[in-house]
Amino acid sequence: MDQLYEFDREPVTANKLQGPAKFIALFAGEHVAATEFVIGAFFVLHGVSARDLIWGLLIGNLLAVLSWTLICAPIATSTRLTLYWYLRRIAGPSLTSFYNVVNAVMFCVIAGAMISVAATAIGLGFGVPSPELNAVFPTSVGWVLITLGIGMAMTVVAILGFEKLGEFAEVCSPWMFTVFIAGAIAMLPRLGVAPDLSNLWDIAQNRIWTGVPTAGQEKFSFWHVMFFAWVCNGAMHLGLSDMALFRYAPRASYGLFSAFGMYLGHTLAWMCSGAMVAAVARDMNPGLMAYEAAGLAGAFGVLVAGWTTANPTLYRSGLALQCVTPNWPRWKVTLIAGVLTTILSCFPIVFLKLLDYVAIYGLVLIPIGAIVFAEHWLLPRFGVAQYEAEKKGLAVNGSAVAVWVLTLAAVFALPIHLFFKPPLAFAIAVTAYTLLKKTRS
Amino acid sequence: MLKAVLGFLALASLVACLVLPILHFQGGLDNQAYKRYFLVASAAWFVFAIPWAAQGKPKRPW
Repeated sequence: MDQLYEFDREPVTANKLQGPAKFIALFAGEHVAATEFVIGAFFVLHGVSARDLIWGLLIGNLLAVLSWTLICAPIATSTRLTLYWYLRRIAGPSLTSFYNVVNAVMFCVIAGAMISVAATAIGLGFGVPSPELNAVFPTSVGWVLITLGIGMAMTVVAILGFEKLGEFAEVCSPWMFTVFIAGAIAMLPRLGVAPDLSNLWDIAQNRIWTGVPTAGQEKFSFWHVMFFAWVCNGAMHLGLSDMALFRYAPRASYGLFSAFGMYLGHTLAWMCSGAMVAAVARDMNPGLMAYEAAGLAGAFGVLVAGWTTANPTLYRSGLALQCVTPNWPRWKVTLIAGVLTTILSCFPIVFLKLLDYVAIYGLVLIPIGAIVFAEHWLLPRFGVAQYEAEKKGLAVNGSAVAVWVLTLAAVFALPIHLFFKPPLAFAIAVTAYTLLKKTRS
Repeated sequence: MLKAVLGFLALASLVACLVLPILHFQGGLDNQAYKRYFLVASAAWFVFAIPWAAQGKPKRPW
């Protein structure tokens, strides 16, 4: 990441554009992570039926790929800037800094969830039980000690050896994928699947995705799966965070390479973790699931998946915080992000409510992506001058603040499921910002 | 040459990681043996893939 600094404040030059292999590897690697152990398993616990799961994942992930290709990548390849620097021109430096702090805190919670998932694997070795499904606060001293230990170790590594661990993470990605596949296949006999696969669909419907939720869990339908698959990376595509990635793409059509992450990771890995949790009697314990499915290597896989995905998340959080502490060295902001992340990871709710949190993460940041989308494409079409904040030297674009706050207030007030709100927030924010700017011009 | 050998061995380890659970599912390998061999194949992946990834791109012939 350090070597990309030269393009932080200026457009990427043509000689630095990357080929398809880079994008395929990035997406395939990034979307086979520790959270996949939790998300796929939660679909089982929420009583998704097999048919709803398959159609929901196919269509929801297609919508996510199209969001990258038609919303995020075109702006990235047109500007060749990160969202941060493009947003400064549109929203003003103060609002952009505030956005970055919000983003950093969101990143810390995600990294905290990764640590919690890794803790379930370490907990197996020390006999520390995984928290119950409804747990909010730490459930034992052992859990706190394990999460604190992993969190501190991850923070030190993020400060001292980010690049080395990044290289290790690249090596881990293909193997992590085999852990999911192998784990699911190895659990098939325990689920009662015949060696000739003749009863596979029956088992999928009656033993894995039964359509019956676990006690205390909300029932999910096709719509929940489809919308969740679409919005779980909402901050990246509709929220435009992945402009940082696609500014290196020669064409906007490179957004289609996100399909490698969506269909290998978010479809296959989620289905595999669903099979694994069904085979351990729906015990939401990623460490146990992987250990039962693939032995010590599986438990190691959960630890590594948590570690290698929390590491860049912590690093990104540090970078995001650095914008409000420009004179601080990177190690200091990473340390602050690490301490916050470690404390959060002690609370099991960060991974037991991961699905809700991921949706909220997208929901909070998507209006900003919508504002940038409207400013980039729609304002010129309506004859409204772009980049008012930059031209007038404004610290804050008042219209952007109003649209961000009111959009969130409106969608949170709507009596619809959380997963359905992010795309609606995008539509409301695009419309409201365009109308507001047009009216004021 | 070394990079090619390491790459081949790493790939073979990864293939083993996928074949072993299939053997277990088909009844050709008991649960303990599958987990033991899966651990060995996983270790082999890291042993071969890490130096393979660390090898630089081949130098241009001119």
